[in-house]
Amino acid sequence: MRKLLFQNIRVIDSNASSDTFKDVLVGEKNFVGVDKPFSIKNSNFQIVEHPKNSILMPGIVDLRAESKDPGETHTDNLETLLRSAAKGGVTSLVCLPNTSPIIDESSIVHSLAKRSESFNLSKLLIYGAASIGLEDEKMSELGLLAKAGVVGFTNAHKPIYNPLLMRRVLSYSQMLNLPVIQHADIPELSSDTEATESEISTRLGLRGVPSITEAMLIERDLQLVKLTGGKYHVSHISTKEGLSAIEKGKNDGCNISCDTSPPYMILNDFSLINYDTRFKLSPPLRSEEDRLSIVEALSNGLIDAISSDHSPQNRDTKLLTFAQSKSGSLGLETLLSSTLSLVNSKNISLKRAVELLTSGPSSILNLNGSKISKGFPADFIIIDLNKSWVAKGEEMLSLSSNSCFENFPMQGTVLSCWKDGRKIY
Amino acid sequence: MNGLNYDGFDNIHLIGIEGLEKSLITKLLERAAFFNSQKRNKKNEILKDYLVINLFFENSTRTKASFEIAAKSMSADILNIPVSTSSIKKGETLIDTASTLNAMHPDFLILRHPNSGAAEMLSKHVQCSIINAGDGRHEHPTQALLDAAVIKEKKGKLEGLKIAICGDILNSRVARSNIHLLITMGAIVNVIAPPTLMPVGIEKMGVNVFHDLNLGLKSADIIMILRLQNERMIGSETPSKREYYDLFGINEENIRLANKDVFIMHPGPMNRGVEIDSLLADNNERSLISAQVEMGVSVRMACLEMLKLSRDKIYK
Repeated sequence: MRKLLFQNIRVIDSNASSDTFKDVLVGEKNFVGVDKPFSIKNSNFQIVEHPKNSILMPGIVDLRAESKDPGETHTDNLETLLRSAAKGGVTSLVCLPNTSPIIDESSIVHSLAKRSESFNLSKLLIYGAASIGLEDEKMSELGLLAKAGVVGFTNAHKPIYNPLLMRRVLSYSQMLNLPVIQHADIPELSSDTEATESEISTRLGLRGVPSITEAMLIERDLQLVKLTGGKYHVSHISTKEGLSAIEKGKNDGCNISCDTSPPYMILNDFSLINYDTRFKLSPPLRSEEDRLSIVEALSNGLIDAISSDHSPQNRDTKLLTFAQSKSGSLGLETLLSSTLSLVNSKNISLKRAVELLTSGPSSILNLNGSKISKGFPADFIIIDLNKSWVAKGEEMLSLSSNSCFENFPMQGTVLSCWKDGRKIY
Repeated sequence: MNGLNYDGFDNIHLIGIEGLEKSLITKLLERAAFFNSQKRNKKNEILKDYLVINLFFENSTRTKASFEIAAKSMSADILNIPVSTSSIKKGETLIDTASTLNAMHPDFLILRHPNSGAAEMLSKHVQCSIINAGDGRHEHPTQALLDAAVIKEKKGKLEGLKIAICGDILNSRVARSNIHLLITMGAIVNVIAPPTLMPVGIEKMGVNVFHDLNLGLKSADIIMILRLQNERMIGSETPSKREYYDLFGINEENIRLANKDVFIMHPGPMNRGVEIDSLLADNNERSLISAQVEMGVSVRMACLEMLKLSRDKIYK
């Protein structure tokens, strides 16, 4: 295979010294040379043209996406999931175990991994179910799941709520050096609720869950993390109180991390005003005060990563009343642009945005990558920061079209996506 | 009919009170009072050749009957869909049911549904006019209008009156619609309930919040009592019927704290001995409950007429 040269291209990764123009030489699988512009000279390569103001950055690593395959392939399938990822600049993504059958044993991990590799698209990583059947009672075969290659354990869209189970999973997973991924909520307080409890939910007559349920479970978990020394990660954090709990845990020296997702960075519960089911999410959209605290935590480093929280839902399950419709929004194709919107509004720097999408999630998963340096895997994307477009669910590659950013103007787009040195979009 | 218009109202649906202008509400109340004065001694032909469908996903006696009588008094054709024996029980979605009915070209669809937002959602999928006859905990606009029409009839005005709304504010669409309407019309509104039945942020809707019945009733001109859905709330949101009655039940004794010419209202159905004392409910000098039922028909006639005029501008 001939090597590919990106000549004199602006390169950004989370290294302190990056954001300069460089020559990037891509070999089979890895970067084989990264150096000053026009310094790489060799006859055995092909120059890849790129628009003048484009940027080369590491491929996005997405900590949370829902695979509807196996089980609900009319909603989305593995191929459309991976194509959506590639189009969104995501070179590695982790899927949740809430498929059907549930990913609570190693054979399902093997088959899903094998099928995903056959598409030669983005890398599908897998979380194993923390409990058998996601029933929050008995621990799954965490060791065998780890051997099969899972990158963490979770109860997916439900919390690991049983304190005995949580204690055991945190304790046992430590031996496997894998994180426990939590969806922080208190089921008794949130069951049958439709929105965050607030003046808005009161006006709309929607059943509200108080936003403190997130912090309530995180605070309990932190005690168990201290007890066990386990590695703990909170997904799609969305409240001010949840962030305070994380801050306290980090200050106490716990091995913890958290991510948030674009809806909680950009939208608030005012969006529910017309009962549009595209805005029905889990966790529910929060107050503007919560949103502002999420943005601040992205900037000050309290939040470690941004995940897409991609959750395809077929049309039928959204064409219902707000109470009856399912939660979730597509997220892969809008992940980069929605993150860049915080750069455009000067809330975070471009370098910080890149870190939140690449090296941040990589380090939570102990992945070797997210660096544009010689010898590292050539997972990267070429992006245009300025290109404007409008988000349309129908135009997205998923079999479903439920985007909470429907008709939102977006700025910045993925021009091409490369996995192991090969163009996948 | 000549010269009757509802300027500023160009919607073909009536989903809620929130957002309606004071002038529009005033006109609707005037028109309802007019229909009420007719006592239906003669059918009018305002809705001749119009088709009204009642689609009620929750049990209802008075609201359904009230809409049916209103429509018939205006010479409309009316169809009641019995939800319990229809395809809805076979798993058909709300939108599919409504689309099917919509294809039969009704002019009005009167919807009651247990989920908040159901009426608003349907209004985006059908051409007929949706009248919200109660959606979850959200709104029940015709109930608030009829309550206001009765108050106006008895007190001559709404502005400046002190209205105490007592009971399950949390789950009540009647409370929400009444609060929007009464605040818009310049009344003072006290809401009274135990904290477990008081929704977060309700004070931002302009009301005064009370957990002490005696304080909340003080110098009230009207007491609106809400139904306690005791089949599902006893032992959860409130400990027992007798405790509720002891702390929040309205009776001859505690209404003395209100103004001496206070009136009692209740949207029905009542739980005698839970939220209201049985004797008080039957005290015709105090209770406006029958007047509410009677006015219900007139208010619904006014609403049907208003939407008919909007529809005619667009479709006829």
